[in-house]
Amino acid sequence: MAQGTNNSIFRNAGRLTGSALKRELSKSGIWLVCLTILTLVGPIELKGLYNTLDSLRSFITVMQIPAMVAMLGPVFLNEKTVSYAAMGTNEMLLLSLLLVAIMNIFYVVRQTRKEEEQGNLEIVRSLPVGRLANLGSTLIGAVVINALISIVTTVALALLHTMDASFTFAGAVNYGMAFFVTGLVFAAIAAIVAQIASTSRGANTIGLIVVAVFYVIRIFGDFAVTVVSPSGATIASSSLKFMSYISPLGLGVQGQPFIKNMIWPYVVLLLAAIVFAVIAFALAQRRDLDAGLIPERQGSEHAPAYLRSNFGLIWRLMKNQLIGWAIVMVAVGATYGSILGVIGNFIKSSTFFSGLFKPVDGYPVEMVFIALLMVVFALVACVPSMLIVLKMHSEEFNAHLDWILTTPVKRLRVIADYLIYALITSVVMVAIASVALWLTALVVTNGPGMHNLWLYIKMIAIYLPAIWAMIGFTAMLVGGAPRNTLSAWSYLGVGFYATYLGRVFLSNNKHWKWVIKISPFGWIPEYPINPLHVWPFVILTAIGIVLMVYGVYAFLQRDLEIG
Amino acid sequence: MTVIETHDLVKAFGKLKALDGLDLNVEAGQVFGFIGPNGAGKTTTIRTLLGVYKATSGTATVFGQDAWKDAVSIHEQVAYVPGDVNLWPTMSGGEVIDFFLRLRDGSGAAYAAAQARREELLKNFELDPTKKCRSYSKGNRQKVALVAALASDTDLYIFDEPTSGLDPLMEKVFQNYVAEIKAAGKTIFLSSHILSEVERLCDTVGIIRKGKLVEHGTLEELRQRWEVKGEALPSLEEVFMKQYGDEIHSDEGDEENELHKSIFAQYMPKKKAGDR
Repeated sequence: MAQGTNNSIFRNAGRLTGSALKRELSKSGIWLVCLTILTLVGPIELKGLYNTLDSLRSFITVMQIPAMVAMLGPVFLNEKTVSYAAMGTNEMLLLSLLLVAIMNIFYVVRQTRKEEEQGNLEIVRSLPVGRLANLGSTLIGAVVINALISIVTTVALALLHTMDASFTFAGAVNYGMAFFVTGLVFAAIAAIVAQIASTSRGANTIGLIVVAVFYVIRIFGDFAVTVVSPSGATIASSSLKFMSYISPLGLGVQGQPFIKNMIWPYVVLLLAAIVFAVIAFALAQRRDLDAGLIPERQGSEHAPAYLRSNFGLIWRLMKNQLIGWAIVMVAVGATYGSILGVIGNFIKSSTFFSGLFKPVDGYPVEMVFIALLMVVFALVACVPSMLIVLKMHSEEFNAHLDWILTTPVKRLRVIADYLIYALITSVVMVAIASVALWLTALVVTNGPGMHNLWLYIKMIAIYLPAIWAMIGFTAMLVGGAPRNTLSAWSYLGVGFYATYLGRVFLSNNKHWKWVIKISPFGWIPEYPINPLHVWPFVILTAIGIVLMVYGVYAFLQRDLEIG
Repeated sequence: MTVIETHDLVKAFGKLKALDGLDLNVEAGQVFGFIGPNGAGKTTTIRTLLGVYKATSGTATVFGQDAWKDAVSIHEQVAYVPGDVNLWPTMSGGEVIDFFLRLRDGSGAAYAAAQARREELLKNFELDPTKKCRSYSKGNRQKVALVAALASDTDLYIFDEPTSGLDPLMEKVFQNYVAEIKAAGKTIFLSSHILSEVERLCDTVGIIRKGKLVEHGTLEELRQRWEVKGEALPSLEEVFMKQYGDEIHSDEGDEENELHKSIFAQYMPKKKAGDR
């Protein structure tokens, strides 16, 4: 066909894919690294924790705790099929697929609606490019990115063969395929959502809700098959089992890598992805550029009464996000709380674990177990506070701050508002988490000392000075180094791995023990296992204050920047 | 009374001097037109006057107060419309307007008066305040900023290219409001490169070039200064072009002039055009 007469709706999709992938490289690269680390961490951590297969077997019972199944998915292992590869991947696959799903939602919305919103696509569309070319190129890009991720994880797992023989090539390939097909299904779902939602933000929200719903749906199915006899036969089964299969996340783990290495779930998922993509293309034909199939909601004509100061503005901008984080804190608190109910009996029944966890100073063994996990609480509670401080940065770079500061509002007032918000949020999040933990413990436990609210508050609240130090670090960047604010997340991430994994592997290593203390979280003792001292709290709080004062001072001295 | 005054004002970003010894003087009740091409330093001047940028050297005062140190008390009497209006995508236009009116006027009688003007302005500018800011066009975003600024009763109004996204009808509405403010004896600082608009609205004009004020005076003074004997008085556009035309013919051999000369040379007949 001559070029001038090529009127295909997909025209030039190939070329667009190239340019889209180039733009994607930095963003998807980060996801790729994170997913690979997550894939490897599980098996390697297991190998470090349990040096015999016997001790590994005892862990199967832990994985079968309902709260664990709800979080990590069904347990396909039994006493016979247990291996480091099988357990490590069984433990990590569902969470990894969850991340793959979220990544694909963000990727597709970014390449479609976000590009339209920024007006980039308008120019592209004026060129000889077909109407569906952008959606087509986005989905081709999704195939490339998901294939890349699945190949990298496959190779990474196959290389673990040198650590343990159970990491077979067939299993690694099966694991990688789960990433590939699940990713494609969610890319296609996101493509549908992108046609329906009225804005890119709305598309992201609806997409994440779909992911969350699929994650919850499979819990009901997974509960139905959790109890497995040593011979591998399912003991309990119920009519809800199908719910594991109607959720792509539930179906994605059914290939059972390193155990049965089945292909059929992946074939079903691939077919589903194709069907969803066809639906997305059909819907895309029916809508205008930068408009969804559902119309945009109207805003209010007047500002709410609280929107009368910078402080009120922060609440207006962060309200939904903060409520979301409060719900996350309740969920985390309730999940850990529900583990408290079963973990005691489990530890007592296993000689291996009762050696590992012993009651300390009259505190029940459940308390000791949960004290080790408190750093995760603190980390999650730290994120919303950092988001608030970084919000000031995005307000500055979007030139909003510029405008506000031309009204009678002091600079000091602006930055102080954000910091006060962050500090209040840290306390509120910690309080919500401890109350949620306590309430769940009231329901599921009856041991001595397990109903003491004050103890739960103390266990989590001791991390507050570490959170304040992180707020200080973020404030220092926002005030003094506004072009390098991403370092705040890098530091949080690196510090978390250093502290969390460091405590597992390095706490008895004289030469590398210091790594744990890279992050402020590493300075907080695991109460009540370790006694509390005053000085780490005083020093961390002081560091937090000094960094905040520096951030404020630097901000008051400099020009506002615009991104 | 002098409202805006800068003396030998320098603002440097690294090596680049965006303002290079700017001397500016705006008297109370003037409608001051601030013109110059892109990159001449118009927005930098406004940002320095508003205390968003800190001057590298020299002085900048508004109402006799220091633009950086006394920013907050100055801002009680300033309404500003930025050149690039960035709004919060999830808030409605009405919310943004209310927010700015409250920041400036609090919640008493001044706020009630501003609310009354808000309704009138919304009607005249034909702006729907219930739409989310992300779905406004450039012109509508500018209208939100204009309503927020014009509804407040202040002594000084600073507009940075306020009509670049407005249609001719809305431009007319804006011009009517400027005339109204002027009649009330308020001061207006209008940065623009739409010369016809400046000619129509402003009584005093300043031309900025490479961070220096190169022309300053009433419209009449400027036109007479560039008058050629035996020809009609030049328009503002002709004054502006002559001011920049001299740059092309000047003997200073810096890079930018060389570029201008080469552009100019394209339109000159080549001497040996027929040679091979």
